[in-house]
Amino acid sequence: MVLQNNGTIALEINHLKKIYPDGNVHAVEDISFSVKEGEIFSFLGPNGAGKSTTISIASTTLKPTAGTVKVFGYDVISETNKVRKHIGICPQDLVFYNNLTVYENLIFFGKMYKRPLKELKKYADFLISHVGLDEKRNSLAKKLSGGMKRRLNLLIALVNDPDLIFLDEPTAGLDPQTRRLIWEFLLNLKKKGKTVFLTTHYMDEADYLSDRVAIIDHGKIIALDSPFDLKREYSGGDVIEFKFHEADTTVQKKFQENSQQSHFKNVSYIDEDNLFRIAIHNGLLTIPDLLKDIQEMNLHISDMNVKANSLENVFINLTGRRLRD
Amino acid sequence: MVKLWDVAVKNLKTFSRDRKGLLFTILIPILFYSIMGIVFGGMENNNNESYTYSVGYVDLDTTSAENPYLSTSYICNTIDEMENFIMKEIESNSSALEQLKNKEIDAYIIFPQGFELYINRTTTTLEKTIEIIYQDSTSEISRTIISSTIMGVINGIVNYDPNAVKIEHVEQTISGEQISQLTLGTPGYLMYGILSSITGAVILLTSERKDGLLKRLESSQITPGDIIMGHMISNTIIIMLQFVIGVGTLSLFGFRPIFHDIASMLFGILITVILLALFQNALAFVSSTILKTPEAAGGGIWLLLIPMMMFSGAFFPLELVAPGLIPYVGWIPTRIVVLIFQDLMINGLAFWHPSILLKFLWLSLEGLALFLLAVIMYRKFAQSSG
Repeated sequence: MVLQNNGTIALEINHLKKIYPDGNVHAVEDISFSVKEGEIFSFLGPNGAGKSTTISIASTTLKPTAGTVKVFGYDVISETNKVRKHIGICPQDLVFYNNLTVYENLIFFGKMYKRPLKELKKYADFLISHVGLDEKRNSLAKKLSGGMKRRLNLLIALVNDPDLIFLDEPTAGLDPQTRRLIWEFLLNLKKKGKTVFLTTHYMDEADYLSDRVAIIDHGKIIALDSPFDLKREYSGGDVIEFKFHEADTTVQKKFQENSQQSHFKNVSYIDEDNLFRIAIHNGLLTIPDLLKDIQEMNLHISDMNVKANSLENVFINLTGRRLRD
Repeated sequence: MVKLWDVAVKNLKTFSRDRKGLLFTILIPILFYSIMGIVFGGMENNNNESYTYSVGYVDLDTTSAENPYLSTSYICNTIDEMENFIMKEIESNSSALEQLKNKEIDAYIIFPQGFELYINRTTTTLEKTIEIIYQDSTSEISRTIISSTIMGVINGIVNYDPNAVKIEHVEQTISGEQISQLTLGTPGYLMYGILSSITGAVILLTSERKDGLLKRLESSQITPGDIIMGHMISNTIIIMLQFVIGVGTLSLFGFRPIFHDIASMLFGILITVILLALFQNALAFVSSTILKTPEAAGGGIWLLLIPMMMFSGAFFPLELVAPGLIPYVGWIPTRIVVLIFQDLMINGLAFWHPSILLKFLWLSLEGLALFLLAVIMYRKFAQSSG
């Protein structure tokens, strides 16, 4: 494909706002960012953060309240048809015809674009074999397993050979093996120069796949960088989570009394899980000393969990809460 | 163009693989046709009690009466004032014959030359005979009611002195076919099957919306017009299929259409079905927008369908069970379709007959109005999905 206009920018969003009239819900509040061509860009955030709304606007199926969105330089409002030619969408829900076969679904959705039928048929077979659905090519979609349905959902987004692919939670609810298969498939797309815009709840997915990650909460982007830089900047190192036999108020008081000690400078309490989180650098090396100090405080550990430096820590540090499925 | 055909083919494939859809759209109508066939098959049309007879008269008499009460016009006015009778003067015998063939009248009377002079007793010619002409499909009971009423009125007016003037009547019939109750009801029964397919169309649309399929299609290069037209094509084919199944099933029980010529009837039916599909799809799109979920749509649409079926004569011919309703329900599109089917398959009219063309026009206008409303509502409907 010959890129038009500004060439290297696949998606450009400027001061985007979306307010739903019913209930006056501010789904997206003045966000701006751009996605480079050939990049895997992840949108990380809880339910209701504004991820799907942003995708709907960028994929031309929802009108923004304010701001501009351009796909390969084409405006999603005034140049809708040109935008649609370049994009593919894999929605969060399984969206295909249950009473059509895998192959029929691909051909039907492919025909909705102006692709020659011969080329389309060849490409559909290529896609089917690429994700291991050969044996199910002529099976009705409703008879596929959950993982296979998810793969079909993804293939439909690719059937028009788009340059920018929007994937809304593409691996939600999948077994690890299928998730890994889809990850490899997405990395292959990237190798072919495709741009992938991904929303996900899975921190490991965003970490593994993404060139850059935007963390979105309550309709606002609160951080945007590469996974490495986000972790370096916001995670505060490794996190060790504790539960104690003693009452939480007793434990909080003892941590406050010992807050001058280096290990206990970054203690936080997660109310929803009755967890105490201690963020420290080089967690694994520090654990023996930390346990000794806790013992000296006469606290008795009931549960302990070590979490290596991750995007989840970044999210918790930025928002003060976990990112739930 | 290709895309809308692809949408239609997709709809037909999913329809043929959906057992519930087939049950509602094909099997239940077949059951309905069979029940109607068993109940009404072979039953003669005996609708005399509530029926209003339309009787024409041709006055060949050029003589004029001295006594205004002893005239054909007074006789005919007297009959016209009776309950269940409408009298209509017709210029010529051929015109009356044509109207009788077209079922615009149930019978007609021919008053012979010299009739008025004779009943005024100013002539001594032999006794006079009037002719009453029927279709041979007219039942014996109807003939007896018409003949005895006419002769009773004439004798009542003329013969205040009984037997002073002798008037005879002869009955003649023109060729035609016996219309059974089943044949009379068939246009309505076919409408039941066709209307029931709206349920399938509404469920399909609301399911596509609920499952996010409309939204996914919206993000491709297909236009809302392609989607709507695609649904129209597939529904027209389903309606045609239902029509064929309906006619086939009812034929097994004795439905025998009376038509002008086969090509004219089939072409007229095709136009009617296409126009009905326009209305039906528009109704399905509007209903889907209002009812939103497949569950609500599947049940809720019947709130609309049952009155439409009742007022269109889908269960029983309105001509038999509720003739008083007829003037008020003629604007309902499904009723218009039943009337067109009646004209094409019972009254033997050609599709170019002015009354049929007028009905086509009404059906088109009503369908287009609803279709425009459907297109306006569609975008909001599709976008609020998922």
